[in-house]
This record gives sequence, structure tokens and C-alpha cells, in this order.
Amino acid sequence: MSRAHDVRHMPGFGFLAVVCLLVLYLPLLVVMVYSFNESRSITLWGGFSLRWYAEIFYGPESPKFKTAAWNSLTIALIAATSATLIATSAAIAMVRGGSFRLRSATFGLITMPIMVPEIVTAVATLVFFSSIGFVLGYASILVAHIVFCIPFAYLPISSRLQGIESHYDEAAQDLYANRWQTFRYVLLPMLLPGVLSGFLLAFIISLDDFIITNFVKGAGVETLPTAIFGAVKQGIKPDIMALSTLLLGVSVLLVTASWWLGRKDSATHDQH
Amino acid sequence: MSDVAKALSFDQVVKDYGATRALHGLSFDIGEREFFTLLGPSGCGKTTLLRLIAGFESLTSGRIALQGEDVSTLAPAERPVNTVFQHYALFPHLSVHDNVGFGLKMLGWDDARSKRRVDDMLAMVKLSDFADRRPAQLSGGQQQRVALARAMAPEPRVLLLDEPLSALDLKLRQAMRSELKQLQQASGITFVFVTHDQEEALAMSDRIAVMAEGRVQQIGTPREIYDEPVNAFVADFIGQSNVLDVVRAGDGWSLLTSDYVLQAQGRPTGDAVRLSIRPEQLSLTVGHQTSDGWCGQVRHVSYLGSGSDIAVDIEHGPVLQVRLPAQDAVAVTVQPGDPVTVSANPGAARVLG
Amino acid sequence: MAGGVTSSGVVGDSFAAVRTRLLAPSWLVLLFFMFAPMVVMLIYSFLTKEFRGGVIWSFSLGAYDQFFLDRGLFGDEPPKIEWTYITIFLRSIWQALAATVLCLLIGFPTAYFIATRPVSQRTAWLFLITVPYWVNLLIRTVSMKFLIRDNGPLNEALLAIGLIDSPLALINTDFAVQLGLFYSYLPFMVLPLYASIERYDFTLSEAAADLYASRRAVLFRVVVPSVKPGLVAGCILVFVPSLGAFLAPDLLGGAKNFMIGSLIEEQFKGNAGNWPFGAAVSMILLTIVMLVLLVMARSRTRDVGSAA
Repeated sequence: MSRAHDVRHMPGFGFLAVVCLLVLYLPLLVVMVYSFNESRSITLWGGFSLRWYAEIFYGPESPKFKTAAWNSLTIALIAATSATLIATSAAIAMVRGGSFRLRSATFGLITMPIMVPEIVTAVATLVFFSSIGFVLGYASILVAHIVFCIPFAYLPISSRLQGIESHYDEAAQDLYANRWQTFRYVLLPMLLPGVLSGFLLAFIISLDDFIITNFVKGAGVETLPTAIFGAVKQGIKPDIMALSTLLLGVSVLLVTASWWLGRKDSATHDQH
Repeated sequence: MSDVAKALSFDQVVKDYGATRALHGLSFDIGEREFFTLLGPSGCGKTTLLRLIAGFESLTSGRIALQGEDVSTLAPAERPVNTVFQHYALFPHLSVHDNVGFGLKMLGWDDARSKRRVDDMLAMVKLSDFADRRPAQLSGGQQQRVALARAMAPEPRVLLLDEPLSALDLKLRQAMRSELKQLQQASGITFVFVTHDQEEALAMSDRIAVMAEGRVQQIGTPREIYDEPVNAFVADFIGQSNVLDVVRAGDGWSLLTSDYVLQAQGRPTGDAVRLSIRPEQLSLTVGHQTSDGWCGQVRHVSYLGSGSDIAVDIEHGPVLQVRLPAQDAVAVTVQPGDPVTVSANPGAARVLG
Repeated sequence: MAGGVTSSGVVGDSFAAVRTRLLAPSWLVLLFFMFAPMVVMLIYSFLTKEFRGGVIWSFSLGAYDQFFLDRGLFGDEPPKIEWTYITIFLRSIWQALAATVLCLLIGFPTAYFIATRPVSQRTAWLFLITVPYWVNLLIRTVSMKFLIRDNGPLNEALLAIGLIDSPLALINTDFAVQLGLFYSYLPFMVLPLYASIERYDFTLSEAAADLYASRRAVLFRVVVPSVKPGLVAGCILVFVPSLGAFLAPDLLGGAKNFMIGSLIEEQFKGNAGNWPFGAAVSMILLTIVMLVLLVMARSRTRDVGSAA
């Protein structure tokens, strides 16, 4: 069929799709390029250099960034791990537990952190912590992160679990596996790509969060996003661009890994 | 059945899904070493019954006994029966070897004994060279055989097969029929086989239970089911059948609108009954001879390769299907519109219940 | 007959106790740290403010009064409608709507284009569309600010090729905020639209073309109505977070382009320090969002109902 007669083809749509990619990537590419700029000026190009990367690792502000990075990474790791454990156990109950009275209420509760605007969650968490006398700091950030990571871990895990037909559970039980063995030897291995993917997404979400963290962090404790925000308030400096580029690289790496897991996963599932 | 040991017996088995009754109090037995088939259209309750035997569903009322022992309330893992699933349900993350050995591992067999058993099973289904492959790397037929080996490895007392051939193409399906039958005879395990394919059922089974609407219609050997259907459903579901409403005429039976009288097997319950006659048990002659058969006109001729199907419009009567061999002189020449006479071979007609 | 009945079987029946244990962690964590905070926020919105943050535990309608009513500088004049905050809400709704339309104009053709690619190319396209979403929103917004500021790379480039004579004043405008919101939430529009268009049966387009429909008629009379659920979902997914956005208006809009997010933030982090008022504004925002979601849920059930 020639293109002119293909009714699926809409003229100009391809161009707009390219525009779409351009809008999405141009700002990021520009910042990445300028992070390698030798010049202190953020306008003029002074040649290729890694000096701003050296600056964030060894410069006068490096201790601040290192502490913030350490906080971000440990919080993301603990929050994503806890959220994944909670979400996995919830997903098994929701998907394999049959119908029960509180099912839709539970689903509403689990997805609440993504339905409610982030700034509202931030306010609610702050006033709640303040009303129960929970001192703001590392621990308060961690608790808030665990909560909003749960739906991001839950969704890929439960959708993976829904894709595993109940025939596999039945086959395992038919072959004398008890409930724990069915989970351990059949469900968990088949679910694992979904669990890892959920973990990675939760990890990125935690690593990237600014709004909620900004509300519940208290004085003196910073994560990378709040540190960057504070610095940007005084103007965009080249070292911030280098730091942003690094953080961007980590996110892209993790998303790629999660995507790859998901694809591998669907490939092994094509057998029927 | 009294002289044969019972592998399975069903006593007033009832299964409801909410307000819908899927099984209406089934009672029958399946003998040891039998190849027993549950045959029926989709929705007839055959798969439900299989899942009740396996323990995936719980009984609403009644009792299922395995070799005399009540298993109605046991979990699937507590029943010494294994299932070959319709789409095999092979564990995609395990090798062929580990799939076949899964049940043995769960039963706590030691590694050496388990390995011997798995090797034996793989040899039995001729897949010894594929032990390290993943299910996704096998063809449909090979996956089917792995599923069979996996279910037979723990030496079940009864093997349940849920339409295991339905996912295979026609050629492979026909080859698997004889292979399954041989496996069953060699192993001596009781097979309970679920299918909606009557040809498959006739080819493999020792006995068949024909099911419809949650009830068993007839239980018997393939020959009994085919030659002596007890009701119109069985007559029509197994092969093709002409079902006629007839009345008593002397020592035989005739259509109200015709003088042709024919004899019928079976026990009539009154003066007006239904008869079943297979298409291949009818013959055709050109022209009208009122006393020798039913007169009518050819409506349609379909050439099938191995034979011809001819539909005949009986005057003031039903349309009859006649199956003639390909080389039959009449079959070669008749055209739609030709006047013909249809007669039944001796012993062809059966009274339906 | 056989499928999906495990729940009523042996396996499901004895699962109730295990199910409760599996759900307990999520129930505990979310009830305590998500649901309870919402309740506390509602209570806070009815308390008396304490200067420089915090509350005094006595009931007051002051926060809502402050939002809706103007009683003059000393609070002794007859109440009139207070427009300051309502205007901020209306502007936020307008900005969010504009961003949604922008996303739709670019997102629909993009989703359509991806869905009509060969299957092998679709994955790559989807991947490219998804990646920016997972990049830190703050970094993305800062990047946009960097790109479009007065002497930023965009203006420099446009000046260099002679397209403009003086730098475009983009930053600190309404349009900059809309662009930022568009940029933040574009993947939310493309992904549900793609899911709908991918399931769309293109023989319908061929049938319409066969019945003399023009390309435009095929698009607007056949394709668009068929993918309406994805369209609605995409619009909601862009509109809702845009409404409560904080970073785009704060970094790209400047002081005069105040939106709800900034108004709330100012009550807790900024100079205003009025917690009950911040809680009340949050409650009002939450109510609007819930109404929007409710309308979507109802239109979805209606669509499902008419399809059946």
C-alpha cells in the first residue's frame, strides 16, 4: 500500500512526534553540554573541561554535596526496600486473595499517595508529624518516602502477578507444594522481574523527590534535590549543572535497567 | 463395576457457583487402570468435575473417594493425583529436568532417587536430550510431553488430563493419541481425560462419560456410546445422527406420513418414540419406491473426499442426512432435485430414551 | 467454566487469615502515615494560627474566612468576597488547562505516530518518551529555566541565526509556566493515549475511508471517539498534578505568576507562616482534585456501560 493511500498515515504527525522528543530532551542536553564548560560564565563556551565535576567532589562545597548524596542514597535504598516488601506482600493478597470486603478500599489506600497532589501529601505529613511530636530530620524524611514509594512499587508488581495465570499455583499445589513452597519456588521466581522493576522505580522516585522532602526535612538535613534547589535559588551555577548531570545519569541508568527487566520478562512470557 | 477395583467413585457430587448449579448430583465409578474420558461440550461441567478431583475446587455436597478413601476435603497437595493442564502450566523459570522433578522435590525424595525417576520419565517421553532446556525453548508437542512426564513422575494413583491435546495442531494431535494410550497401558495408571472432541474420546478411551448441562448422559465403551446412544443429545453429539419421531406400526415403526416400516433396537416406552439412525446406515436408490423406503428429493450434495454427504428432503417429512462411500454409483450421479428413496440398513435404527 | 474460580475453591477459602497478615503492613503504614495525616490536616484547617508556624488548639473558621471573605484591614467591615486567593485558584486552573491543551496538541499526534510504527520501533519510541519522566523533576525544571532565560542558549541561538533581533522575554511569564508544566507532564499524556490507540482497530479507519471519509473526518469522527478513554485519562493525568505544581511556577513563573502550590508552600516554608490557612488551602485543592477524579470515574463507568 502506498503511503498516500494508507488511511493510518496522518500528515505532520511524525514531525510533531519529533518536536515532542526535542522539547523533552533539549533542555537536558543543553545542561549536560554546559556542565562540561570550562568557563565560569553560564552563557559563553570556554572549551571542554571536567573542572565542575572536580569541584563537586573536591571543591569547598563538596562536603555539603557528599552529605546530601549520602542522605539521598541511603534514604532511597531503605525506603525502596521497605516499600517493595510491603507492596509485594500486599500485591499477593490483592491479586491472589480472591474477593474480600475491603478489597477496593485497600486498593484506594495503596494508591492514595499517587492520587493526592504531592503538595497536599507534603502538608498533611508535616502537620501530622508536628501534631504527634515527631522531630523533623532524617527519620521523618525516611518515613514519608516509604509511604509514597509504596504505590510505585505496588503497581508493576501487581500487574506482573496478574500476568501469572493461577494455573501455575495450581500446578505447584497439584505437585505437592504447600502454600509457602508454592510462593518460594514458583510465584517468587516468576514475580522477581516485577519486584526488581518495582524496587527500581521506587528507588528513583525516592531519589528524585523534592516537594515532600522539602516539607518534612527539618533544618540542617538535606538531600540532593533540596541541596540543588537551595543552590539554584542563588542562580544556576556550573557546578549545579554537573551535579544535575550526574543525578540524571543515575536515573537514566536505573530506568534502562528496569525497562530491560520488563522486556526480558515479557519475552519469557510469550511462550503460549 | 463390582468385580473391578474402583480408582475413583463419585457419590451425589454437587457443585454450585453462587446460584448456578454446575454439577447436579453425579454418581458413578471409574475403575483401576481405566482410560476414562469425560466428554461434552464446553460448559457441561467436565472441567469442573476434573478440578473437584484434583482439589482446586471444593464440593458443595456429596463425596469423592479415591481407592475407597474419602478425599473430598483434602487440599490438592494431599491428594495422590496429578494433573496435565490444558496449557501445560510448565514453570517457565525451571529447566525441563527441574519441572519434571518438582513434585518429587516437594515430596522430599532424595536427590539420587529423584534424578533416576526424572531420567526415566524423560526417556519415557523421549526428551532425554532436552533436560536442560527451558520450556520456552520447546515446541508445543514437546511441552505437552514434559507436562505429561511432570504429572506422572510422582507416581500418582490417578492422572487427570484437562484437554491436553487441544493446543496442538491436527497432525500432532492424532500422533499424540496413540502415544497417550500406549503410555497409559504401559504405566498402568488410571487416566481421567477431559475433552470436547468426540473423535479423540472414541479413539483412546476404555469408557466414556458423555456429559451435558451438569449431568452424565451416558456411560459406556466407545462402541456402546456410538452404536447405542441412550438419548438424542448423545446420538447427536457423538458423530452425526438422524433423529426421527415415529409411531408404532405393526411390529415396527413408521413416520406418520409414510408407509415405510422399519425395525428398531432398544426398549420402547410407548407407541410414539424417537429413533436415531446414523447417516452411514442409510442407503439411497434413484426414483420413488414407496414400500422400500422414504421418498424424497435430493436437496444438497457435499463431496468430502472419502465420501459424499447427501441431504434428502423427505416428502411431508424431515430432512435426512445420508453418507455414501465415494465410489458409490448413486453418489457419483445424483444432482439436487433428483427423486430418490432412502432406506435404513437392518439393525440401524435405535430407540432413544 | 474453569477460569477465575480459585477464590471460591479450597485454596481461596483457607487464604483469609494469610491474606490479613499479608495486608497488615500496608494497612498499618498507609492508615497511620497517609490517611491519618489527611484527617489531621483537616483538623488543622479548623484551628487557630500561631505566629511563625504551628497552631493553637482552639476551633476557628478563620482560615476559611480568610480565604473567602474580605473584612477589611482591621476585620471590622461588613464581609465582601475576597478575590485574592480565588484569583490564584482561577489562574492555577487556567494554567493547568493551558498546559493540558498543549500536551494534547503535541501528545496526541505523538502517541498516534508511535502506535502506527512497526512493532519493533514502538518500544524504542516509548522508551524515549518515558525516560525524561524518571529524571528528577527539579533538574528538568532548572534545565528549562536555563534554556529559556533572557540570555540563555535558546535566545542566543535564535539571535545568532537572525530569527529575532532582541531576546524573547520567555522567563517569568505565564507561557513559561505553561511550557514548564507541559514539559513536566507530557509523558502522562502520551502513555495512556498510546495504550488506547494501540488497541484501536485500524480497519475502522479503512471502513470509514471506504465510505468516502476524508483523512480529517477519519481522525475526528472515528479515531478520536474510539480512543476517548485514553484521551480523558491523559488529560486528567496532566491536569491534576499541574494544578498543585510547585516547581514550575516557582522557578519559571517568578513572583507575579503565583499558583496554588506556591501559596501553600509560603504558609509553611516561607514568610506567611499560617499553618491553618495552608491546611485549608490544601483541603480546597484536594476537594477540587477529588471532584475531577470523581467525574472521570463516572464518565468511565458510563463508557463501559454503554459499550456492554
